[in-house]
Amino acid sequence: MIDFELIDSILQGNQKDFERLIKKYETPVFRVAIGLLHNREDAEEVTQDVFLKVFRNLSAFNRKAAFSTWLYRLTINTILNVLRRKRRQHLWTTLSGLFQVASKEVSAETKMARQSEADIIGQAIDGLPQNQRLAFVLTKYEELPQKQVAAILKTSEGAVEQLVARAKQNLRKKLQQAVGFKGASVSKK
Amino acid sequence: MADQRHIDALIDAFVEEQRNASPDPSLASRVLMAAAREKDITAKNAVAWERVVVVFSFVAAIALGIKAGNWYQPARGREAKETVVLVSDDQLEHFHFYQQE
Repeated sequence: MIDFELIDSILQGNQKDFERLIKKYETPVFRVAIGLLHNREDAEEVTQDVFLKVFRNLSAFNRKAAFSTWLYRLTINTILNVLRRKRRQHLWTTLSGLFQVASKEVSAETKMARQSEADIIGQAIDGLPQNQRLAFVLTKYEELPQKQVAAILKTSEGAVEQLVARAKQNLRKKLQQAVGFKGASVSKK
Repeated sequence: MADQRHIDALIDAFVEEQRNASPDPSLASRVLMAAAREKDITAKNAVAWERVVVVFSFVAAIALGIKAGNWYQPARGREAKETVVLVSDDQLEHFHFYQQE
């Protein structure tokens, strides 16, 4: 059953088909969420939220683009709202967060060092400019074709290519600069 | 260069690890339950709004009727408006005299 048929059926009130739609897209939505939030609980909450929004706004989907493009756009907007809200709520914890990272770097035992590595990579991805981060996550996590990423981000394919290349470059730079990161990765070897 | 390759490998490993995470299997049923609850609330709200609209229309209709026809006035009131006032001859003369003066 193609997406448009599923949507027609859902709009007629068929709950089973809504479940089918959720099952089809829950993992991609969850993957994008975890790629941008790096937290399982938050990603699940966002995924649930996105499908509720789909339920509410499905009749407003104009079918000019693929359903998945509309869904990814909805997902990204929901995640960006969550990030904005989080930033507002936890502005004061930024400093303590930096302090925690610093303390982790000091105690770099195998398991802790691995955890720290993941944190550093996550923070490096979070630190990318918004468009680079979105292009990186959609390309690397979802492995979407450039054409679809361009449609989701409302930009050209060339711009997406550049954004991903710059994101990778920035990530390398940030990770090389991260204090103790090199040391931790060498100790892992 | 080796460092760069190593960093790329670490990024790939990080991405791969996160990519392998999958949502809780109960997520779909949770969404369906929330959607059903929302649908129920929406339906209840719609009924409540329908009632508000009916009551408002009724009140508005009465108000418009009052304004347009004055039909609410008791019969006595209407009669009072149309009643011819009878005056005595004296009163009439006095009125006439007063006018002439």
